[in-house]
Amino acid sequence: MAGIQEVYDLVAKGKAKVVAGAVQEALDAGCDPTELLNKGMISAMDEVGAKFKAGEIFVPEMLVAARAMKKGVEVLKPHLATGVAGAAGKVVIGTVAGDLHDIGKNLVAMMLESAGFEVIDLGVDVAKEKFVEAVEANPDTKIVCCSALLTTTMPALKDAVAALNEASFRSQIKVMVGGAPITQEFADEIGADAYTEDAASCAQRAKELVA
Amino acid sequence: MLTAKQNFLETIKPDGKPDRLLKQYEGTAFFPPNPASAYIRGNRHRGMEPLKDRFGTTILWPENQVAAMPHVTAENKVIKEITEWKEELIMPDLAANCSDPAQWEPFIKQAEELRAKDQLVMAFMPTGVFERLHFLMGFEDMLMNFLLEPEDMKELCDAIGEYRYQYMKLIVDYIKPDVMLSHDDWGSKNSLFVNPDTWREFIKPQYMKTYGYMKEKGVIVMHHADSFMEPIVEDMVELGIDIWQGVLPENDIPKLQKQLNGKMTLMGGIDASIVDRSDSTEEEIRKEVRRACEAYGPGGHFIPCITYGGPGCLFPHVDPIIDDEIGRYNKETYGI
Repeated sequence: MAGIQEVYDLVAKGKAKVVAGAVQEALDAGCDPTELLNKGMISAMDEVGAKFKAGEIFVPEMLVAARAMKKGVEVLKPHLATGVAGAAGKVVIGTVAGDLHDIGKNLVAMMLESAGFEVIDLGVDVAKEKFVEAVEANPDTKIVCCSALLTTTMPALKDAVAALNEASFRSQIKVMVGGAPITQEFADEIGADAYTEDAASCAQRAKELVA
Repeated sequence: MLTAKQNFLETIKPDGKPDRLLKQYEGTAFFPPNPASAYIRGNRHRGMEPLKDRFGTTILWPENQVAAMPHVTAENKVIKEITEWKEELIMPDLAANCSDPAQWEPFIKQAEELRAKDQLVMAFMPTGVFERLHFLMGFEDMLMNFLLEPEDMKELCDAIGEYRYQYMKLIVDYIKPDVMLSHDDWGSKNSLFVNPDTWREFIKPQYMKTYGYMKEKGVIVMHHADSFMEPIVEDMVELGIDIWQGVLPENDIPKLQKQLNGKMTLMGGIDASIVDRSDSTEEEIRKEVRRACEAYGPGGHFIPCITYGGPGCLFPHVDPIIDDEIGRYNKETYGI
């Protein structure tokens, strides 16, 4: 449908000022809201993520696309059945105890939202118990993402993952880790399910993990 | 055998003849204090209460953190709307507050004392133009504003570039450092933060005058960025950068050595995530340092070093082992 394609193009190009109008027009023309979300917006963000991973675009282009999608979702949300926005699943995210860095964590949260996840952002300096409590308070959580930027907070990341691994709900969730000093090897060593090296890869991997 | 200072100078000359690899910052004396820094940054120390720097950015340094860091939120950011930046930002006035020669005298004396010990005095310019932008408006706003409001961003970049030129000029004119360690991180470990053309349009011009002045005055320009920056290395050479400090092993260092052919020295190459950990063993540290020396030493114009923006690892057991392993490599490879 032309309406869906137009929304797709506007999101991919980051045209936040006009995307809301295009979404409304598509709805008025009879587009299915869920299809508009999935094929018009989330698919557009998939393309944006793929281009980022291929080095064709950079973080700013990804950010403006996500911002455009957010504007479109604002218009779409009243028309969606409860739970359709964020239907990919619920993600709990935070930077681990003793670490105040949030740039990478915020980019990941934004890309996860754009991939259709509902994100519960616990912020920075998050104690391991808080990650566990957040999942207990949100039993439908699918993924927990923990970030650490410094080598000094790698032990806190290890502790957070250990706390999650010991929790009774562990088999129901996936644990993802990231941050500048983190490697696949370290992720394996501490018992995380996945490590990705950038925000776009994280969103892609998260979708695979809950598929 | 060359002194450390002589060896440093030989290492960075395009046709130099160093006789061994330097041990990280060997040959230099890191000398960050000066009146301009104190005026802009305030009295920062571990465990301090949050403070605002002269730009109005909130700076935190809690007891459990290894360094001070900006704390930029939607509520406290200095520039909330880029189109209003001239109303929202009061640029610090260095000329009015840091130009009294009497303020500089004790620092000039200290620098001379360091120089008398046969060391290269290395002054410090933290918080580069790119970094200042996100200190002022947050990282996401900054990145989006490059695309959405390019004219205002360019004006703001120019204003910060001019401020930083004045900051540098005070240090160079008064302290006359041999080396300037200048910070600006332009990428993550795998990618530049912005398209190279965006960097060339907004950021690169801010360094032409500043680094050009230092070259005129014979100051060695050491630019710190622990980032992936392969796409802009030729631009860095053009800016007059003598040493790229912080080069991460994620960059193809041997390829860059061939490409640069001595036009810029690469300093770094040691993976901090392996060596600088509370639980890193001597064996692990030696292995990583040896890897870096063997992989990048033969290519020349390389200084093995931790990739942080100043001397010193976070954990005290690490540096002595790094330096000792470089020494062992030198003994085995160069016989000294």
